[in-house]
Amino acid sequence: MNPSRRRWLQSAALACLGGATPLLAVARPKARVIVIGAGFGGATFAKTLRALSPHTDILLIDARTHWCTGPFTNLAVTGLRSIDSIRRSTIDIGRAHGVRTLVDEVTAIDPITKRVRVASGQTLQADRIVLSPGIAMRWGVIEGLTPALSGAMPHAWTGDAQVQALRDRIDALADGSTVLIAAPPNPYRCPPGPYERASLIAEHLLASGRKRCKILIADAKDDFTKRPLFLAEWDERYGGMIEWIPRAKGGEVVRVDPSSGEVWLRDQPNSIGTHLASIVPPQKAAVIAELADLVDESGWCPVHPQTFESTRHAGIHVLGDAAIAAPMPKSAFAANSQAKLAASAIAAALAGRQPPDARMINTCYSMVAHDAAISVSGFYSAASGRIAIVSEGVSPLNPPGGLRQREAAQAHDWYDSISTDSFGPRA
Amino acid sequence: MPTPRLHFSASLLVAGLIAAAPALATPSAISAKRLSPLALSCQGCHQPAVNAASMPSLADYSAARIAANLRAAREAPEPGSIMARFAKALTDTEIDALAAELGTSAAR
Repeated sequence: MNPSRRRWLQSAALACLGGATPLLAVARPKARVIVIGAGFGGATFAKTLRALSPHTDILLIDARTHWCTGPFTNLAVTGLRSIDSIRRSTIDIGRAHGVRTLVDEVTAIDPITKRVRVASGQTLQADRIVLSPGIAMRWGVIEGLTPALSGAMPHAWTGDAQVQALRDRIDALADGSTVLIAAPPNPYRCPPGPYERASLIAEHLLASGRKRCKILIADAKDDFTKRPLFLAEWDERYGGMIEWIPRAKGGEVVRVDPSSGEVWLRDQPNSIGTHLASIVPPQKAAVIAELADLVDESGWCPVHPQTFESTRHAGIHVLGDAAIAAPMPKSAFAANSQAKLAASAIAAALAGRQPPDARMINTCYSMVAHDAAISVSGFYSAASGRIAIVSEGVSPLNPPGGLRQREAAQAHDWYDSISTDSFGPRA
Repeated sequence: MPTPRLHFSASLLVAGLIAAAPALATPSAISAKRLSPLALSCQGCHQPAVNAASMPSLADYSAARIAANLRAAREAPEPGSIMARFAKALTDTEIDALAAELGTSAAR
C-alpha cells in the first residue's frame, strides 16, 4: 500500500467514526471519488455512480448537517408547506444511497494532485473530484448589503435560517405594508423564483385580509422566464398588488439600508421605504470553486458538457448551479439530470466503455397560487462542446379549463419525485 | 463489514425478488439495466419509489404502452401537456429505445 493510499484509508476510517456508512475495505485499489455538495446535483451524482459503478469508493462531503431545498422554499415561507417538510440531511442522504458522508467544510482543493482539505484538518486523496457546490452571493454589488446584514432583508435563497426568518417577517406584516423583492441579474439560481415568491406572498396577504399591501419586484433585468404568464396571472388574481419594475424603468437595486428598510433604485434620488425587503443578491459559483481554480472571468465554472468535466482541470467535474450549462437553467431538475449524465460518463470511463448519449431534461414549475401553477421545460443534448435545445415548451397563456390546477398538482408530485430520487425517502 | 462483492450480490438478489414491484428506486434497479442518462432523467419525475398520481412509475408499464403514450404526446398531445414538450423531437427509433429501457417487456 502506498503512503497516499494509506492516508486515504485513515481519513476514511475517521469519517466512519463520524457517523458515516461503513467503509468497504478491500485490498485491491479502487477508484476514489469525492463528491462536494449534497444538494440535488451532488446527491444524485453519488446515487447514480454508486449504482453504475458498485466498487468505486464514494465520499459525499457537505458542510451542512441539514438544509432546506430551494424548490418549495416559496411555499414554506408563505405557509403552504412546513419548513420541516422541505428539510434534508446529509447523513440521511448517504445512508439512502450507500455512500460514505462527511459533514465538514471543504477549505481547499488541489486541482492537480486531487487532494481535498477540510476544516477539521484532514486531507483526503481522490482520483476524481465532483463538485456540485451551488452558488455564492456577490457581496459588494449592492451598497449596504453584507453577509451579516443580509438577514434583515432575507433572500432565503440558500436553504438556511433565512427561510424561517422570511416566513416570520411575512407573517408579521401589517395591512398596508410595502414588500420589495429584488430580482438579480442573470445568471442566477432558480430563474422563476422571485416571481413565484411575489405570487405566493400576494395570495397569502389577500387570504389573510391584508388587502392594502403592495409588492414591488425591483428587477435588474428587462425580461424573465414565463413573463407573459406571470403578468397575466398577477393581473387576473391579484389586481394591482404586484408591480414589476424592469431595469429599463430603474428597477435595479443599487443600495439598501437593512436597519431602516430603505431601498434605493438606480438613478432614483429618493429611497423606497419598505416593511419587508427580500433582496436576492447577484450570484456566482460557490467560493470553493473559485479557490480550486475552476471559475473563469464570469465567476462560473466552464465544463465539457458531455461529461461536465472542468475545461480548466482534468479529473474534476462541476455540476449544477455552479457550472456554465446554458441554455439549461440553474435549477434542481437540471442539476439532477446533469448529475446522471456525469455519473454515467465517469462510470463508463472507469469501466473502459464508450461515453453515454449526452441528453438531459428540465422542467421548472412555478406556483402562481396555492392551487395554480405554470411550467417551462427543455430537452437538451450535448455535443461538440456545447449544449443545444432539442425541444422546449411552456404552459399556454390561455389555458384549457383546469390546466393551472392540474399543473399545481403536478408541481407537488414533481417535488416529491425529484427530491426522493435525489435524496432518498424522507427519514 | 461486507465486502463489495457480497454487497453487490445482495443488491442483485433484492432486485431479483422485487423486480416486478413498482416501488423500485434502489441503486440495483439502475445498475441491473444500466439505464441511459436520458432514461434516468425520466425517473426524476416518473420516480419508482414515489409513483405519483400525475407522473406514475413506469416500472410496471409495458414498453409498448410507454411507446404508444410517447407517440400520442408527440402527434396529438393534450393541450398543455408537459410530455409533448419532450416527445415532439423524438424519432420513432428513439421512442422505442427509451420505452424498452423504462418499461417491462411483457405486454399488459
